[in-house]
Amino acid sequence: MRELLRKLDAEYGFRLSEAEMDKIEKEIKESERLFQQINDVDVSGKTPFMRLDVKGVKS
Amino acid sequence: MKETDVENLTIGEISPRIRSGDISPVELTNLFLDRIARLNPVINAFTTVLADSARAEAKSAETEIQSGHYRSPLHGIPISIKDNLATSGVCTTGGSKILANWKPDFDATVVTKLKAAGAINLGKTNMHEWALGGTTINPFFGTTRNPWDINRIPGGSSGGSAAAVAASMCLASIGTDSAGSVRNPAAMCGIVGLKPTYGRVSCFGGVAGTGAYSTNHFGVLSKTVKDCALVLQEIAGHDAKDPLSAESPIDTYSKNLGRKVDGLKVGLIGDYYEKLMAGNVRRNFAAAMELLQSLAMTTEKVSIPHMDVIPAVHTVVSRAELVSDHDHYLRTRARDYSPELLYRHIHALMFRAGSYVTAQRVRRVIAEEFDEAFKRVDVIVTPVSIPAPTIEECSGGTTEIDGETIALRDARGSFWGLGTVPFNVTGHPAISVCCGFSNSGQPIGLQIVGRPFEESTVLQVADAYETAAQWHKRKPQLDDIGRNEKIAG
Repeated sequence: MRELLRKLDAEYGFRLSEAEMDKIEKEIKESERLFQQINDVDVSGKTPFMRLDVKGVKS
Repeated sequence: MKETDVENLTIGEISPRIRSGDISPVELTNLFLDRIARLNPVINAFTTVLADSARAEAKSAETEIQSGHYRSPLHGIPISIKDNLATSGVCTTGGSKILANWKPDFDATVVTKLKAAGAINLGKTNMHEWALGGTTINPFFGTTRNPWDINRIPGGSSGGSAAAVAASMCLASIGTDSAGSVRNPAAMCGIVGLKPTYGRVSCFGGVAGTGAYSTNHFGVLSKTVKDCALVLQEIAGHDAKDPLSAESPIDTYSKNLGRKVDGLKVGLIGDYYEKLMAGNVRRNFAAAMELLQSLAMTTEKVSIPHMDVIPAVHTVVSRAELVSDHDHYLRTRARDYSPELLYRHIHALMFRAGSYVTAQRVRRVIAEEFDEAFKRVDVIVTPVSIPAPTIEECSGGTTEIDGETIALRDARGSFWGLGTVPFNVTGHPAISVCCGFSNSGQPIGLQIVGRPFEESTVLQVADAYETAAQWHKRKPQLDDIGRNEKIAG
């Protein structure tokens, strides 16, 4: 994860300090369990839901 | 009329008097400008006050009305606009340092419609940085304070709009809502806040990056449900400039106001909202349900099996869409974001594309579960959020509510966003109306949700509740504020 952060830092020119990278990594780790909930849902046969259709019925 | 008399005015009550010539739009506008001059140095609801143009608009409205050209119930009505809606020639900051001096050369469609309706724009309202947070503690434009207790936040991100309406510095305001940013500040400030159905109101002219494409809505903040219906009437409708706006015809939004609600069925979502009710929120919500039942509405528990996944879906979808908008500024002006927001965007840059698509597929699962629920009930009713925490508590990360300690933020986002994000994920219309006060005197909101494009039903139930409960008659005590002290933002 730190390697990816360093790549982004170089690409975008953020000039992140090590302490800042620590903070971002901490946030990412805290989110991992939350995001895992998405992968646990059976979505077979389901297409992405982007918005309500412009005609007024669900897409 | 005195400046303090405007506290009890509503659009519904005064628009006929403006039409008849009993009330002068010029006099009314001057009273509101006087009130803003007194209160805004303390409340900090407005980032830009448009005194000169508002007076000119009021004069024009007065002349038109006197000559028999009455445009709409908003003609001559003083309103405000959140600072992430483009206003031609007027600073439109998005609550950001990056756009602090941006003056668009065009109006958002909603602004164009309000001008056509004859509304008087008193100014632009403060907001959370980039509308991406719920406190309106803004590092660049100062903290907006809650009119019910100036040591508390007004909620957000449309905190300036909510505070301006609650403090009677305008009669209505336009906000934006991609996670609850209209409904939460409305609840915390004791007013009405409507997030219409996704696509019902054009989002053209919204500042890019202040709301994710598939979750953002423009909404109305007002003193009463009737006022909300009157404003919605003028801003709703398809807009060719916004490819995401809906083509379904608009309704007559005040048609059901005052109608009985007997026989309408209320759906209640159990566990998810149980966990969000702290302190007096539970008591007030229960009392609100009893009141609705006394109006002969029936209740039924509805099951949304994947309710708990909604915050994760919202987080992945909205942050991925938002970081696309911010890419340019992240490459060129990264340090002009607050550190917290910068880190959040960097995190989003690391999301996998497949996660976004999977989240959108889960979103369909959830939407279908709501479709099933709405086959059995007419509306779903929930609490909105906790009462407003203090500004100090927001720094500390926890709040005390009637003896309970609540963490204000976790990986799912702000605690008070959890009650509102479900309907940004599904796109259903949802309104917040005041359902009482906490022990410390802070307003508490009730959320009423309807089927897609059935705003009239949502407004009907909200109006019936408001009329029966009468909480909207209670006003914050502001007579002594701003007469001597000035609080730096």
